[in-house]
Amino acid sequence: MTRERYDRQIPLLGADGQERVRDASVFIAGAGGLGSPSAIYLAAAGIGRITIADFDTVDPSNLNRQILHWSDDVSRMKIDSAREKLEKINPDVEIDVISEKIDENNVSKLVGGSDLIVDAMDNFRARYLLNKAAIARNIPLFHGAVHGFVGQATTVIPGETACLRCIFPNNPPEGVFPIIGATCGVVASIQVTEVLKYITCTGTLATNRLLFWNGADTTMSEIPVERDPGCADCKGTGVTRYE
Amino acid sequence: MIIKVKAFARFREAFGKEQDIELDGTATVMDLLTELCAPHDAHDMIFDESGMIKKYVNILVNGRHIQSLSGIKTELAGGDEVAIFPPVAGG
Ligand SMILES: [Zn+2]
Repeated sequence: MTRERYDRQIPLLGADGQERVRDASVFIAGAGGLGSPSAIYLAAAGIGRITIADFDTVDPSNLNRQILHWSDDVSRMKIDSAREKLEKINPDVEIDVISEKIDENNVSKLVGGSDLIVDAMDNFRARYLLNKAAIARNIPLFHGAVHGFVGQATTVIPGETACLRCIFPNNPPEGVFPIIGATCGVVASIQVTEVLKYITCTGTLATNRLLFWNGADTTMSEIPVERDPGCADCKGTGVTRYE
Repeated sequence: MIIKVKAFARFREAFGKEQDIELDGTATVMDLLTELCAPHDAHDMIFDESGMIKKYVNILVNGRHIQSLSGIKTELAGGDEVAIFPPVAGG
């Protein structure tokens, strides 16, 4: 590892923290609007292994926000485009790519080899699969979602905090929605900050809180959220700790 | 009793950022929504054509989704904080 690369963050994370970042493996579900900036910042921060899953190819309409993919990448597999950029951003990082669509049969296997999961999905059906797998395998899940000028984020520690299903019991309708790339950048930056804090035991996590970024009025706000004792996904799993 | 209502994302355009709603006696989430939607043109954001609450509208009372409580029949107490926001699902 070229230490100089991390000179400006080691004062924050500690030398041992930087080693923990190097030893960590992160699964990024999706190489799109959220997955792109997440992967870029995680690679630049020196995460040891990044596994990124996406089954799609680059479409011209992705380019306003999916900043891992450039004009020349249209029609390429997103994972090929992603791997190429990420390896150039930081050769210290091992990049694994998965071209499978995440479904209930493969999700546990796909996330199982990683220490943390970044939710960069574009629909709640897939998010619920990640949520269940995270709980079953006791892997922290860093949720983010975006729409237009607004976004949300929360951190799920299985067995300890409210899970995605506790907060959002119902699957919202799916469809094509308006979005600017910068909204993805804000939310992904929150997710990556949470990941680095979790790995290095720094600061206070966004657990049992749902954060809202509103770019339309330039405000950040939050609400407290609690575990649902009757939650279909997390009830009775792991250590229950109510505060 | 006074209930604090906080709205997020595009619901802010209809409900404002934060408001205190005064309700009489024992009141439920449904009473609150009726009161909330009265002065606004916000009814269609919350309810479908049959007058049922849209399933994907998120309403949390003190951090708990009403679906995990008693739905729109969930009883409110003075000082409760109700958060209301649309789904944000993109990535
Ligand atoms: Zn749960």
